[in-house]
Amino acid sequence: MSHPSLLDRRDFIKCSVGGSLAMGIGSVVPAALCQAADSVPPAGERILVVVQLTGGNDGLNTVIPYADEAYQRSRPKLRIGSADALRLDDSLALHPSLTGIAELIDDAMASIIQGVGYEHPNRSHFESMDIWHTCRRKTESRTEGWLGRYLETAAGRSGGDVPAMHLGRGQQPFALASRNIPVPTVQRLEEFQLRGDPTGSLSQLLRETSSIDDSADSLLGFVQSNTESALAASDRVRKAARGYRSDIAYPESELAEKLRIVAQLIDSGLTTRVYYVQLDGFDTHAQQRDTHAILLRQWSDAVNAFIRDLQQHDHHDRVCVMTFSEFGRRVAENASEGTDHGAAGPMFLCGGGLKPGLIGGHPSLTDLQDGDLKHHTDFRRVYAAVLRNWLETDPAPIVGEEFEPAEVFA
Amino acid sequence: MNSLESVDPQWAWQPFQPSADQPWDRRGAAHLYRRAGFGADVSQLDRAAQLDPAEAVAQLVAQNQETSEFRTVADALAKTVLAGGDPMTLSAAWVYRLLLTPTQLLEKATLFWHGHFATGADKVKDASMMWQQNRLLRQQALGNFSELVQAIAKDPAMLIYLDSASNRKAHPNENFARELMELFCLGEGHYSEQDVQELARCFTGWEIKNDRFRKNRYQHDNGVKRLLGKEGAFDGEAAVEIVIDQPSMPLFLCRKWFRFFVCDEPAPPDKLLMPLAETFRDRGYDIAPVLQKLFSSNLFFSSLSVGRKIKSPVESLVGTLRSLQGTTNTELLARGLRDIGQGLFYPPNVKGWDGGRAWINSSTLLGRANLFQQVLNDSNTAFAGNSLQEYLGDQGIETPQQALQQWETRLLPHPLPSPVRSRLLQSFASGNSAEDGGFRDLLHQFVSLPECQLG
Amino acid sequence: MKSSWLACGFVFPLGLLLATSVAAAESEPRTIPEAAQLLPPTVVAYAQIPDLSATATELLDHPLRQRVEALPAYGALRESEGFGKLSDAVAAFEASLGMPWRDALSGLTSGGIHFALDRSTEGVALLIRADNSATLERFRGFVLGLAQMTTGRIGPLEQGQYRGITAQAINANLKMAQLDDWLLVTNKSELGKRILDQYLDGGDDNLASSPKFRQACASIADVSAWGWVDVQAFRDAGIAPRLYEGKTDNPLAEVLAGGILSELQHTPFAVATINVDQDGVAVNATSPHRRQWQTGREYFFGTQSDVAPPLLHPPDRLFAASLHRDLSQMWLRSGDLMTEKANEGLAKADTQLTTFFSGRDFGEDILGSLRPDIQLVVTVQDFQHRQPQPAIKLPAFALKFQMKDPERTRPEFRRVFQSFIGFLNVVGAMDGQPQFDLGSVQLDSATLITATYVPQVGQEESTEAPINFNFSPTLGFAGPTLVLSSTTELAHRLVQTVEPPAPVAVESDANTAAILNGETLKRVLEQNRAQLVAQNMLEKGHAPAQAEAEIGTLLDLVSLLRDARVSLIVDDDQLRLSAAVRVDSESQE
Repeated sequence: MSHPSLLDRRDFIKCSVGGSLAMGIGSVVPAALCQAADSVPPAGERILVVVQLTGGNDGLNTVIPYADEAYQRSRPKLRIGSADALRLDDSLALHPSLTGIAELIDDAMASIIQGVGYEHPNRSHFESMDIWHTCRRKTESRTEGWLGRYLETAAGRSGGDVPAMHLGRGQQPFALASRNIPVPTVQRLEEFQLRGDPTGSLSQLLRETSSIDDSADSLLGFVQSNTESALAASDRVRKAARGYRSDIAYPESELAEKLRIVAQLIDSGLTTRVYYVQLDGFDTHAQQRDTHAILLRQWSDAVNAFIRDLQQHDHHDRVCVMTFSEFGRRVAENASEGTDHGAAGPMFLCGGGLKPGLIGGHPSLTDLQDGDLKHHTDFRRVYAAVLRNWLETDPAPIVGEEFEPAEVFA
Repeated sequence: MNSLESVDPQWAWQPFQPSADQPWDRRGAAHLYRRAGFGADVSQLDRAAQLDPAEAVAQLVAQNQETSEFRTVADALAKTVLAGGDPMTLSAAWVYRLLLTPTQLLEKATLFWHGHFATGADKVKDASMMWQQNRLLRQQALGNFSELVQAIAKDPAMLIYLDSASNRKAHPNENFARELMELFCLGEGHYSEQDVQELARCFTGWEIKNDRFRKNRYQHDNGVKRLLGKEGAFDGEAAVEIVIDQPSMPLFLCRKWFRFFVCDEPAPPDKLLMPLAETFRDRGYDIAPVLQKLFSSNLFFSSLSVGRKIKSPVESLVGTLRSLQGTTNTELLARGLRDIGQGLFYPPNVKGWDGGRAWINSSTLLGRANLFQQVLNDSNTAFAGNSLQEYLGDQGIETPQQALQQWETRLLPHPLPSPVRSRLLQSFASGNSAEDGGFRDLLHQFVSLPECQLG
Repeated sequence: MKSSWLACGFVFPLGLLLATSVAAAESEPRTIPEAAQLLPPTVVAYAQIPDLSATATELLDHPLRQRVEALPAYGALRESEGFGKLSDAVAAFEASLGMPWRDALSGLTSGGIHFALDRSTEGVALLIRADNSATLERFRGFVLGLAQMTTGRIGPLEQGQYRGITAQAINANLKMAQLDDWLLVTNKSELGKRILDQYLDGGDDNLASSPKFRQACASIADVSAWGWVDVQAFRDAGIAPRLYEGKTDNPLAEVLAGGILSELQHTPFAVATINVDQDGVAVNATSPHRRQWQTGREYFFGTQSDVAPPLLHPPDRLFAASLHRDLSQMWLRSGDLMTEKANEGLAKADTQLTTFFSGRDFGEDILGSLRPDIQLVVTVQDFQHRQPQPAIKLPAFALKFQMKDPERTRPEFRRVFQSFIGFLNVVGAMDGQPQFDLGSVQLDSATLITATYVPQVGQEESTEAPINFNFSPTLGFAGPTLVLSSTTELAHRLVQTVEPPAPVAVESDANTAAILNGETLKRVLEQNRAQLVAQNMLEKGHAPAQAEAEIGTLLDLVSLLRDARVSLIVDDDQLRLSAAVRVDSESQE
């Protein structure tokens, strides 16, 4: 990498501020210096953004085998005809709401991994979600999530910034749990700012005093350097938020708002490697048509805007958006024009470095297990691919040795 | 590297003798109160400084139960808010206790045990069970370790937290058995996998039904177990006794206390801890004598301890408020503490809080400063019932210089470097001067300093 | 029961819309305020306190005063620093004016206090008219002295001349001038000049000549204060556009106030009056209304004869509300009524609810089976002989509907209710919650389907039972009436008792009416005193005694409240929103 590292910048500020204080002009100079530091392009580490579709997304009406007679038969009321769907090829099409995803596929920025699931599928939301989060069954000891285990192996690689972040409210996803790495849950960008510091005088003061005396005392030195990097990160986030220009109009939805924040954080140069967001409501047991269309549109439009935004700011090649749901839904629709809990479904990857388009065949609609689609790709193979090819970590200790990375990256 | 290697264990735990280098004064008393409690106001510090250090420690240890008056108030408060069923309000009720308890060491030790026997309300969900456990921890906080562990082994919140609410002889549940040895008593390396399985058999039949502990004798494995070198048809109680009587137990506990009360790092060598561990064993696993020895020691008042800990969020927030006789919206504070990593009743996992450097990252540092800002500007925050400026005025403090001097003594292990002090004063002068807001800003800046994160 | 001013609605002629209306001709504006002759026609909001002194007298000599002064909290207030400052200020005021403050107030404001917001200059103006210029002169001196003190500047204030009249700057924003017995304060010199011009030159180019304003004035009776807003001007200027787009994000807000949103989209102006008298405070807001503005919200307004059912009046009533709303229509038409965001939420909710009602369409089949008469009532529960007793004591509440086709819908609702209780039992069991016992009670002319929480073993006589024990959800049928109640007891009352004749006639023609009773409110708070004290301790960090004292004060204050009412009345040419708070002057002790 040709950019000066974060550390260089920090030292640069430190020396300059120390020097300016000695000359007695402390309050004037650093602002300009910090701007100089700020204009350094962010470090180019790769980033994973996980989008969780909570409730069990109906994969069959997401990637639609429109030409399959079995589909027509199983979905007399809920089927989506070839006229409405967005055709991918002679047999498959996307749900009409997914124009954003279709556009990304055309631009070679999205891939769909079909038929993803696991052996002996569990149809409880909670249990299946736990399996996706931990890669373990209930009978095994599971105190950590797969991302938590990744964070442990990558500990110390994210500078002073938090290694992962959950955007949203409420309880953190199990996937992020680990024994040693706390992950913050963030709702607003303001949480990165010092409160009650409208003029920036407090951060100025902390910045200066943090570098006055880097004493030999290691604990104090540690807190000081963390204070500095916290302020530097805060500064970057603030400037990024304030100066953030984007021609991309994000749709008005919670998911889009979260992804917009992620885009700003990425652009600010935060060294956070993993972001986690959720979209709830996919448990469509009745009157599925409208709700499912709304949810898919919210997801597709938000992800599309996010990727376009990253493109504008030249981060698209280092961000991968992975979308999953805890299970698909039954092949046959139920009597309330909805669908019940099922098994295998598609996963989506969007961003740079992908093998674009459809990966793996659509599961058969006639060869079912208990009325559900059979998976042909274990989800842990997708995780393994993301870990090895994207995050450049050995996946074996995280997902288990038996799971070969799926071939999803170019 | 490890400066504790060269410390003479005999010297370390001998009663502290004040000297010209290490005098016993307000600053020393403040160190004692910060570690053995959360912080003390000026009059408390003055009173302590009048005693000799051993007496001051003895006094703290002697208050090993709350006065009935305060307990009545605090227990009634907790019980009343339980009705709402939200563990977060219970968390606020604990903050209330932390801010106002007259028995600081007891409360600090209760917090220690909460981290040691970590149990999270996000999983247990039932506030009244969390409260029941909290009462148990407080009851035995300075009592007897053996009795404490026996009670914890039957505590509904603990067993639910560890997925051990049922334990049948056909499928012994190893979870509690493992944590009992790994996290609560011995530490890794002092037991085998075989011991875990055998210990789990001893606990079969122990279960939680209707929120209460009971022994289901039909599910208890009456067979002979081989546990940690002993053999017999042990039941749960006998098994706990065997674990506690392991020679590595006292050292394991003393190591944890050392890290919690004396210094974050470096790790102390075993030989340094031996005198403490011996006291623990000789006194039949009574907790108070060990802590009394620890707090009145040479080592505790030496430079190896003073300023060698990163304050936890509770120590930082509650400590600052207590040092200034502050009260505030406890619900706000309880939520804020949770946001910056130390939610009471919400430890991160069964290991409890790691402490030390783990408290600090860029998000928690800003979080601390912001929480202080929120608390200081909350209309419910008062200092001995007054505004900060009035409170300082009542103590004859009119200028920012005087205020800083007072805060340094109470809140900091070492005086501020003079450039930092003058920078604070400069900032005060350029701000809205001697109004109450000016002093609040000054305090906000003061507590946000890296120096103020050390205790 | 005195409620004279509740009935004092006023006729609102719609001159602009019904130019030939006889009513308009008859009630030729009684009093166009003189201040309006000084204000430019571009004023878009105007408010007046005609007789501040009388209002002050009403308040200060109120029979309630004795009760207030008897409160312990009042004593503490008198000791407080703020009160001291107030006394000092009053003393200074009296010294400057050379008379007791009440006399001074009466003289200074005898011609009213007038407030105006002007569109063209974006300025605000305050006009006060005194009974003589000498007193006013002294008052001006007092204000200037105060201004010097607060700005910390000694010496003369910045001042300017316009057509021989001197204006002084009170602070960076406000300027003040005296015109004989008028005092003018404004933040925009331009506005000030226009008012001075008007004062010196006269002429008809003023607010008093505005037809919309004249109509508004016509309706003003004797009131303590009133205000007028040119809604159309605000709408045209694009100020707070969301207020006039006629849509909301929040379905509950739509149900309660959707009609008002329609009104804001169309009405030319609105008038509000405030009246203070011995009984309390009453606020009335009215605006011209036309039937055709209701298009799309027929569910809210109904046809001409549709009004809300009477307010329910069971014993121990805490709160009651009655609405005329066709919920089914609202649910089905929500696409037009609410924002995109709200609709996406509703569409998702529809899916969930339809799942719940086993595939029956929630909007069409479930809501559609009810008549558009909704009655809600909340009562205080008596826990005296209850076992177990919940630690937090909540009031009971119930909804009362009329079914269109009772024979057909009754079994449906019964089944849904039973499966809902079953669902709660399953979900509750996973959460360790107590379980419901389903039952039914057959009365002479009614049936109750009841669900009762079963206490856990050993908890039967607990006085600290979980909050669940406030509830015994019950569905009641009596003829076409359907009652959904949080307790069996309340359902029992509602299906059995014949409603007493509606006690307050004024509500009978309301589209929406609600009442809150003070005495029962106090009882609910009393029942939960321990909880309130604990909450106060946590929130304020108070010691128990301090918290007890604050909650005591709260209860004392609540005991001053007799009741509070709100009603919305729509007729052919106007829409009226009334709110009233009545106080209880006599101690109940």
